[in-house]
Amino acid sequence: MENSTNVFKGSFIPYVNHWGKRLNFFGILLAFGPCIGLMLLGVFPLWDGVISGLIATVPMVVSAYFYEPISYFAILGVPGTYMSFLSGNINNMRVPCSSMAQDAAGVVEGSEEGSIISTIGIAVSIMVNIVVLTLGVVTGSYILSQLPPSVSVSLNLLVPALFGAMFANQIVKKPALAWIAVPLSLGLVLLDKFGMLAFLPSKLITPFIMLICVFGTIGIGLVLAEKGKIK
Amino acid sequence: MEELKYLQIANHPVMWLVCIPGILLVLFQAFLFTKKAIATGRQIGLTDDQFKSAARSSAIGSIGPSLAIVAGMIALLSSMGGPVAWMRLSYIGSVTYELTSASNAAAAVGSTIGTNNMTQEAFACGVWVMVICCLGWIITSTLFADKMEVLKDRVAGDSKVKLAVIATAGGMGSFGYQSFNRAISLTGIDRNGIAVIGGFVVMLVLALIGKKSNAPKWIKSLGMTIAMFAGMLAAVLIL
Repeated sequence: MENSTNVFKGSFIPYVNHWGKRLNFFGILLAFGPCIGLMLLGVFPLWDGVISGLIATVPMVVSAYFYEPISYFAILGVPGTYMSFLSGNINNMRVPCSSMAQDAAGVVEGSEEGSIISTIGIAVSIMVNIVVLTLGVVTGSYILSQLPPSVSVSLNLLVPALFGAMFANQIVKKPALAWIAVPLSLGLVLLDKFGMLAFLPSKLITPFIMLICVFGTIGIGLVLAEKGKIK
Repeated sequence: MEELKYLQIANHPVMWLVCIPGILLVLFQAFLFTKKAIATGRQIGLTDDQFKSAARSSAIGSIGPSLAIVAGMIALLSSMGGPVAWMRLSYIGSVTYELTSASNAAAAVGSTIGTNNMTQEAFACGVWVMVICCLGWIITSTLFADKMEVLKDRVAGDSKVKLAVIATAGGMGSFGYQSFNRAISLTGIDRNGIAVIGGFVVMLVLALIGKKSNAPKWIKSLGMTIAMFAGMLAAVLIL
């Protein structure tokens, strides 16, 4: 056991951090590909427009920059975090796939073994996602435009169903935690729907609820685990 | 219908070329980390069978979410062109945010995406805003990944129970919020709500069966996919 931890912490994690940081920072440059393409074609944005667009959009997403990596880190693991945020679609794809892979392999989520299995699960989901999207975009608008609108409406319902299924699966894994997570998340959603969180700036409501649900459940869960009440 | 003028730029071969490197980088990193993970996994006692069932389960499980992303791509495809839609949904971006970024940017210069008042410049604004807005995720996650691991080790120590609590509680809190937020509507239940509840109930039953020691293997590898499609079907059939 001691030896396996050394391989993981002494060799695997440093390797992943070394390459993860370099590749992801390089990824920032490559993200500008379409901007460079437009400039090559002689099309430049109106910079005022870009700034106004950013002012409208950044406040909506900025809190997700922080709560998403934190909330999902323990499931994804270190390599999974680098891969997931480089490829995107975190909560609707990478986290569920990581979790499914860890379940199927029978490892403890968040453990060293879990981290290894998560890497494989996410890599596979990245390949499937890219293949499906590439087929979608190449066969393209034609096939998509032939589908009745009801198909895409139905497909959009897969994600809420997936969220419900993920929630149920986490509850079955550690039922004791549900006594914390359910009242917290249900209570906060109700407060929000009845307008009782309106004292917060509207853009802060989702991150506020997310952070309380995530850290509240983790924090109280750890205290219960310390007392031996969660096994 | 004649193709909108800005879409000729958006679907220009050059645009395809500049989108490819990012997607190759994602694939390269996935390959590199998988190779290392398999080598390390073998050393710490994981078996090839475990790798295979992980890969199989994730492959099947990816199909549903990928189809949902394709459904979101339809809108993006017709408004921002093939290359940008393709790249933004396989690279850093997320189907939930991309269309909003693009339309905010176009609106800022007085255009509406997907219409003929959309100019090339407005399209370029959309692209720049989409690209800049997605950078936050990769910057924070890349800066903090190693620090979060140190923090997690410090909090959990050698306790496997605590590691599992951190992972499960994080997922439960965030998916709990996302489920309740979609399921509860003051104006009466809608399709989203039924999909959440359908997915929840089916997975609850499957996961409880899967917990038994003599449970068939397919429950662990297919349960989530079955629950996802069952929830969708329930929503379509009931409402």
